[in-house]
Amino acid sequence: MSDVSRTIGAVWKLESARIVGGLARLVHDVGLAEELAQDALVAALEQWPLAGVPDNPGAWLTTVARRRAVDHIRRSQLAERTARTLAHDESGRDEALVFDAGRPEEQHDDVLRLVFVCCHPALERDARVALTLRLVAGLSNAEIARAFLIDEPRVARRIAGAKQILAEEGADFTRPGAGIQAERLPSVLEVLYLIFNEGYSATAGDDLVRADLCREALRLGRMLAGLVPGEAEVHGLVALMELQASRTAARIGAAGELVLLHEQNRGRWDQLLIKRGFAALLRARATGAPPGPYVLQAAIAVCHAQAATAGDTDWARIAKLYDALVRLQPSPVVHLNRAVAVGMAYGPEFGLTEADALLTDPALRDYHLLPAVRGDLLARLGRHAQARREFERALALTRNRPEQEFLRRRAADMSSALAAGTEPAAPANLGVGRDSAETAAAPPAESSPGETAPTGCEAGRIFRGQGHTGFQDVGVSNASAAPTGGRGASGGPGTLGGPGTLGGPDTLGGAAAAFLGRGDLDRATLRSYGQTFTRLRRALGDSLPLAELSADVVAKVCVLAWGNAAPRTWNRHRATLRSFGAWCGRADLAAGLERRAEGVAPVAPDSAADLSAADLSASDPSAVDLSVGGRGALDLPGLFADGRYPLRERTLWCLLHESSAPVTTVLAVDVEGLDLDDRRVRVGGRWVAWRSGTARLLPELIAGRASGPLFLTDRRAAPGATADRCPQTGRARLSYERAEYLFKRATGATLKQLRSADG
Amino acid sequence: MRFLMIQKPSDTQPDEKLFADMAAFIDEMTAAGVLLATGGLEPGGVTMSSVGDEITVTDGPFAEAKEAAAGFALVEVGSREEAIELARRFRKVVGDGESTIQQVFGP
Repeated sequence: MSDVSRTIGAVWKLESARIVGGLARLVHDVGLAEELAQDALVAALEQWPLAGVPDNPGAWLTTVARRRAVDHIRRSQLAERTARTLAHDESGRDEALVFDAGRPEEQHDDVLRLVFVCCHPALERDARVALTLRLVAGLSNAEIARAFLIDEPRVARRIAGAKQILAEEGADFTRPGAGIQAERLPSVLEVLYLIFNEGYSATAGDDLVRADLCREALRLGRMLAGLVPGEAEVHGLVALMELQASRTAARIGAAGELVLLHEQNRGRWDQLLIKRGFAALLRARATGAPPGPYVLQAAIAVCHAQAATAGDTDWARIAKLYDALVRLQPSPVVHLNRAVAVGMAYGPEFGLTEADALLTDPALRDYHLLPAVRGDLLARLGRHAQARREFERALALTRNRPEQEFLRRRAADMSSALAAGTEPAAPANLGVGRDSAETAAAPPAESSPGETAPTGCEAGRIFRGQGHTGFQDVGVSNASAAPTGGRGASGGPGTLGGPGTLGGPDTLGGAAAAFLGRGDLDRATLRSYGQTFTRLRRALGDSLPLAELSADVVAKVCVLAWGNAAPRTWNRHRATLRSFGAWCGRADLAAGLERRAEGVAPVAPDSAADLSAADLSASDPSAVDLSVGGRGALDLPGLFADGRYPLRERTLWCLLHESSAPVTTVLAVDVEGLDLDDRRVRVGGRWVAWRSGTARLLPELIAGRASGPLFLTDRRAAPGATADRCPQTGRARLSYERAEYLFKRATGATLKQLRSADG
Repeated sequence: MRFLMIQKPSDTQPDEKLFADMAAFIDEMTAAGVLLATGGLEPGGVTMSSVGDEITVTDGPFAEAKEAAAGFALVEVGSREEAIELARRFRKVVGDGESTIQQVFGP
């Protein structure tokens, strides 16, 4: 590449957002705007090598691109008036046009508008990321492809597809009003943080950190902070990225391996970026807005940055910040990180209580950090047998070799501690309250738009292998092993910790192996049985003494794993367990498992997590039955006004009653479809109308939300279910079973009865 | 990549306009997310030299003041060309004089 073309590339990087943004204002189409800008770039490549680089290269590009835009508008006879105005402009002297690239505040709006358009809700997340890098950061398709380790045609297709969607949507080029800003900003921040994390925790490829992506994300973040200085979360994100980037050098060891936060040489932290991070966080606070997820995560990062040594870390403060973060972002991974912080701040028993509460969360079912964290806490409490089991479970769930090695070592430490009846040597040396984990806050793949990535950091701190060289950054696996459920489900028993962990015949692992290996099972049965045992062993650990395997424990695992599965599946696993129970002389083993009627929709018990989470708010459900007085005699107005029930329930009940619509239809209502003035909404081809009772309750329930399901659970949606989750919080749509359960518990009646009840 | 730009002293007397233009330029570069730190430097300062165990401290001003630095800017960009382009814009603001642009390794 010649010097001139490199200069052109440099000018383009600095100017492209402004040029494309300005053109988009004229032609109302980002795709076209970018093509016109590219034309100007081609012209520069032709002319500059001959005529020399112009004095003001950015203005030159702008001018040429604007001329092309005017030509285009003229040709297509589009927006005639605009064309005349522009033609008039152009008839003036060239210099006039050169300096008419738009007033600074106009350019400012152009770029901001461009950022918002790139994060248009009609686009998939990958498309938003690609388009932002291409149009705002000025990267070429080849650069984007290199950064994300995908081939260039794929990037080209992604970007072309995105542009087409935007053209079809007629993406808005009006000045971004406060509404659009509030609505789009979370998505913009998410895109920037995704770009940053892709660079910072490099989920793939040879480089552990791809500095280019980190730098682009930081540059865009700083730029955005300049564009919308009043938005606390933008400063929060910038602070978070500056603070994480400050550790880039210290994160890489001499052999090119990743070094965990507590093992890093803090002298290699970039103090300039740390101070910039502090300053950004102060700017966030100065806006006076209540702290959002990014501000809180940045504040956590500040706690780490302020600790001169890992032992100086203010865990109590970190735990408090996680308290606040959990309230805003009740994702299981954030809960788990909080459990670690609590364990560090107040003692392992408190951390364990927190971590235990997550055991019933299906999202964490295959997440190796949960058993790893529990194992660590149990070890610190001296409960070595249980700790060993947890380490073995974690071992079976991770595919990251250094992590496996580390977990195997910790499990072995527990064994020797048990044999010696003393505290194991290694953890004693490691000390308590001494260190924390790398904060590679990689977003799990399914985190939803508008929601920041849960920090996967504190949970990683249990991987603090002393004398454990070449240990990898757990953050990497956080990214890939985000609790998506099902991960590694194909793994089969062979992955369960390898030799030596199966345990004797008196353990779950040993008994299962003997049961499956008895030789009289055909292949299909073996496969089917195998699935049941894979789940059971993964959930309980191979070394669980058979004597501790109770019907209760089995039922819990089954409900968590297959509670929502088809009755046939449920019954198949139930049959396996009954057969196993009979085989090992424990006929009662499957006693907690009811056979389910096949061919009928499952009325599955919702997960225990949901049960416990949602209903803390209903103060005293048991007292309610009396006031309602049984079926057919529901005091409906009283019920709808009864403050003891959460607003969501009361609104749902009231709407069901007033509309007489089917329960599934009412649950399918989305916020964006509501016609509050005419008191109706169209769902699945039919109108649902309501009366004054619902009309009174609705505004409070909507609470400013612009889209997504009207009735939400307290849990995050499963990955992929974009239609059934709230774009702001990622929470899932309320299920029929759950709604039915809540109503039944409150009144003893069914929702169908409510629909037809007089009142 | 980080680059340190150092401005040599110039004969141009700074006026109100130069200060205003400089401030605007710094704001723009900060908002563009490329300027990490910048500042002006006092003329002279202190020099320190060491020979063996002996350290000599000398107060300015110095005869070769022209070679000293009058100001610096630390920028973070993707390529040397971007740094050069920024320096070009800076020189346009400050008028006659000289700058050096060097890549910073580390931290």
